[in-house]
Amino acid sequence: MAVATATAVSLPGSATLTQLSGELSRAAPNFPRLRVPRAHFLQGKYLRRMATFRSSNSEQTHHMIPFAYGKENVNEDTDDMFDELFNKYGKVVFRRNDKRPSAEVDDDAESLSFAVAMAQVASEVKAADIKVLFVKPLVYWTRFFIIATAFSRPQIDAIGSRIRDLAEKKYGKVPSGDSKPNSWTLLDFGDVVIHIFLPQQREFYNLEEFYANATAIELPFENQPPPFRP
Amino acid sequence: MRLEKCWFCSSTVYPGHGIQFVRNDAKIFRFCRSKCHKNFKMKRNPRKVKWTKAYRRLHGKDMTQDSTFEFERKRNRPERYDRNLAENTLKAIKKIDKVRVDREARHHTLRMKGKRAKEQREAAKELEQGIPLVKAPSVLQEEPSLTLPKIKVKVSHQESQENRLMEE
Amino acid sequence: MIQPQSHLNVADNSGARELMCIRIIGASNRRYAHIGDIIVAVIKEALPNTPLERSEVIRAVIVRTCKELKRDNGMIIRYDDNAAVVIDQEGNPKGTRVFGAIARELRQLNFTKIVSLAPEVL
Repeated sequence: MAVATATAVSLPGSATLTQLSGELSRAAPNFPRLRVPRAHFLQGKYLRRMATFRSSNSEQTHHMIPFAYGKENVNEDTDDMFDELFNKYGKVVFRRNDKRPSAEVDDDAESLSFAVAMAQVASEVKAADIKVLFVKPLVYWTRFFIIATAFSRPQIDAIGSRIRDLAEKKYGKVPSGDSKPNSWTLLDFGDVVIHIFLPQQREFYNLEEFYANATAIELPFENQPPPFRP
Repeated sequence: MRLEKCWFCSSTVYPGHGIQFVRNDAKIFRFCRSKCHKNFKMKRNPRKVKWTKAYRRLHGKDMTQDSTFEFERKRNRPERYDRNLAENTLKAIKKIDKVRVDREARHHTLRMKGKRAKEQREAAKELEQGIPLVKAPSVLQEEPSLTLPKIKVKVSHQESQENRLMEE
Repeated sequence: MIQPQSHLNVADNSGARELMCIRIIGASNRRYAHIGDIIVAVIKEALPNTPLERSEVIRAVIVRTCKELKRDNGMIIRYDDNAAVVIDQEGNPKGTRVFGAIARELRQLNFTKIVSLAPEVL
């Protein structure tokens, strides 16, 4: 029953899998890793179908009803049903309430990978408590925030220069921001903004609280705990 | 680029025109020209100012509800540029505008319906009542040629109007 | 168009309430300051029990002006009051939160910190 209802809702979803990556991005921002448990059917044959579907239907407007989010509804039976329904109905066009154009999603993916790379660099220099926040739904002028703590000014300087070098070399992006090491150093890469604080400043400005509604993105590398404050 | 609506008169503000005023509560008021801006600064209520769309809609002079207005709803999601989509949208805009203008014209005629009849009735009544201003009633009774025919014949009606004008 | 002796509201929670401009940082005889300029100001009114006190000389960045701000795309924006955010010598805001709308121009002028604390950016 549950499966039936799930597929009933996802019927249009089966026909327009192109939007699934956007869906994932909406549901859980760590979509580049594609290991989100609730959408395992995105692997294998569906990826292929997605590719062909995307290329063949570039002109059609893609509409979709959000598919079932519940993890329990997605299983092998669902996959077969998807197959069946897709073969039965072919291209189905439905109205979706909020459409996520795939281009936006691609840009987000790019910024995300850039942000994660920067965060990695920061952790290499032993910055603590690195947080990557997806703030696009809250602010329109940027996409990601990276907040990191450094324990001394030379360290801030080191992190800053490392990030700058990597950004320039690999991505060709030049940041606008402080040049002198500051107790709060900011590097503005357009759609990614990096804040490097000293521990007291981080406490003082408390940006995490201000952007509490932003979704935090899991970092794939070892994250140092926040500095211990007695 | 976005075409906004003037807060005061509801006309479209094209890029490069007008002023935006940001109030301290972060509400933005857009104006198409200094006329609207100055009226706003005077704290005039657009619903009471005769030439604004707000007044006209409120007082039933212009169409308020129509399906063509749905197309102009504000959408906040940017669309990726697609040439076909853009082409179709432009064509659609033209068509929708035409439809809307036609419907507004129809609304106007409907509103003005019965005006002619009313005007004529009023004119006849005025003629009947007001002819003593032109000629004394005793004189009218003596010389029937001076009275106006009761039959509404257009030609003679014009003649009598001309007579009146001449006598004035 | 802020000039010396102009009073400005304070748009953050640093503790000051009203500032009076003393000097405009930049050229030696700059007449007016606009959005994004740093000014030297004296605190005319402050909230009690805060680190900032009355008649303290501090630096501030102008974030809102009643004089219109013109953008390159032809957009003209006017705010309702003159407001500034108190800043320290390094350029970090003294307060933790900023109030009211902030113009986007501050980002280009390297005040992204203030922009990231702002509730609304126009």
